[in-house]
Amino acid sequence: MEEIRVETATEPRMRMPLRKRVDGVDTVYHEAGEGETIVFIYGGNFGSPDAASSAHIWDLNFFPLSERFRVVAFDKLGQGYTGNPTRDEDYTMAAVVRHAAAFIKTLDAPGVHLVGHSRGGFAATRIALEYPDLVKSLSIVCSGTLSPTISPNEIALAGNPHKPYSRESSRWVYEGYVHDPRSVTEDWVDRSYEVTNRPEVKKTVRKMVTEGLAHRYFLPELAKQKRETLQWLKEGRLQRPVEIIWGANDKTVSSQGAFEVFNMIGPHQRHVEISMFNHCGHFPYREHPDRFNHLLSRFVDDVSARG
Amino acid sequence: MMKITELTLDADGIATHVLRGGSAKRSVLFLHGGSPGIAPYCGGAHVWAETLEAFAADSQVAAFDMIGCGATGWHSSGGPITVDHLGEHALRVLDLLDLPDCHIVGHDIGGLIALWLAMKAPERMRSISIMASQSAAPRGDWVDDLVYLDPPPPLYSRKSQLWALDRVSCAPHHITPALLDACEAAAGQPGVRAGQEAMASPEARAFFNASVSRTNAKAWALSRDAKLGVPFQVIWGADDPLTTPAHGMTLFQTLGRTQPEAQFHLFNRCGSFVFREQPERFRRVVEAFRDGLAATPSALRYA
Repeated sequence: MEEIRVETATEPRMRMPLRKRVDGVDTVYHEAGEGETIVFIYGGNFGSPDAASSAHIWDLNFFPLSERFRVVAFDKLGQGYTGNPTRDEDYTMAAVVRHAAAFIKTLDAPGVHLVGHSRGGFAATRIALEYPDLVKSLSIVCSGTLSPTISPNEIALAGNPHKPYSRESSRWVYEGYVHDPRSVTEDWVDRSYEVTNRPEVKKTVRKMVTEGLAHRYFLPELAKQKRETLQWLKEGRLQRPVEIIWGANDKTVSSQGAFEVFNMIGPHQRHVEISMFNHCGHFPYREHPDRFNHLLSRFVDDVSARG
Repeated sequence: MMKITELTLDADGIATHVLRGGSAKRSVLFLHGGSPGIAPYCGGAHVWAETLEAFAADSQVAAFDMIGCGATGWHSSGGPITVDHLGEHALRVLDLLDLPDCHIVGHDIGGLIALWLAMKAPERMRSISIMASQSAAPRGDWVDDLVYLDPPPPLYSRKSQLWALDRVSCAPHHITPALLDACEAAAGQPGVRAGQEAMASPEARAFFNASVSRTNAKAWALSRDAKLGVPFQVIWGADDPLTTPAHGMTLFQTLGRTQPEAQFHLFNRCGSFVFREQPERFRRVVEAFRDGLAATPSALRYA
């Protein structure tokens, strides 16, 4: 395969993290620009030794969009550079959502445009349902967690052949997620490697895996919340404009999922649409950043123009 | 608003009515729907109406009446036409207009013509957007389509055309007096009447439909054995009575087998006239695709 360097090294790299206490948790975030507020919520969850996201995963979107919007990317509870849950029973999606909503409240914006990816798409949808006053619009990106259909994530990423906490294991995971492995940049791998090796992050692995909180709290609570969330969507409780952005070749979430989410929301909400990217796996905002950024900024413009 | 002007071009002997405006160094060409002499309403450049003014703010824009539509004439042989006739005519008009950095948007049969142009002369355009196009999408063995079964007589009267436009819309707000005036005026044009006469028989329609299938087959083979030479997007209304989201998605997946730069968009509560029913959404995805492609560094243009 032809070697193509995908680095956009001229761009600043989100090296100026800010921090604030949110519900007693040291919370790290990045903020730039002025205008309508866009808040990014990335995917995954605490307790993964193979690869770990942080706010930097949005670095191809953050600066281009900050030219026209106030852009905020934060680290979720127990992920990236933000502190961990203080109680075992807070190793749940519900606690992540509470923390994220509390963080958004501190932004003091008259409603934000939420962009949630994967498990972050689920969290963003919960925020739009539970705290509608905080939200102006919702962009759901490749969220198997929100799709009623089986999401083959566990199949595509089973059996990582590399040592946990290694650079190679991160690269293997992200290459499994994307359509074209050339889109997995060194920068992306480096950051994931750095995050997985943070002592605080390793502690979440002990909690989730060794102490068994994944199966005691996280997964069963997520399953309950998913049942409730799908029910709420079908009842028409989601009352903000929605765009559903998907990768047509995502090996971890089927494209059918986009239609199922659309079909739950559509009967109650005029303002819902699907945008599907071809030649694209689980990370449309990294695999096709320019087209993603233009699409998102025009969506935000459109919603804002409607008031 | 940018002014839109009318002109008439001689496209290889066919007097062709064109709407044109804007002055930027990039352009959008709009191909209307409604197969000439077959659809129960009179399509033409007039359906684009305010779309042209909106895009002309930062683009050159052009729309023309296809053979036997609006104020464009019928072809000189006088007999029934094929997709190839419509495609060759569109290509000639594209030549004459000499549009820079051209993005092509086609609705309904115009979507198939956009695809025809992209297969024939990919170097002439930056992208195509195929919108609500029953004829461009794979159909398999289709179910008898009853949408236009019983138009109220007299055919092509104002009321009959209103009925047809209403039949294929999710909401009727876009069927304005101005649209009906233009459709009614088109019905009286000599080229339109010649087309209706030429396409009236079952044999003429079968002749045309066979050409649709031939064009489809070329597109499927091209997307398997080579690839469509330009980025494309498929834009569909979720409530289009003429075609389903699955048809649009299948078109996207089929052409997308080998052309990586592609997007599929599905709009809720939207019928066939996507650009009239939901003009803001339509404009947003067309311009975002254009601008996103232009912003992508060449190293990332996997095509």
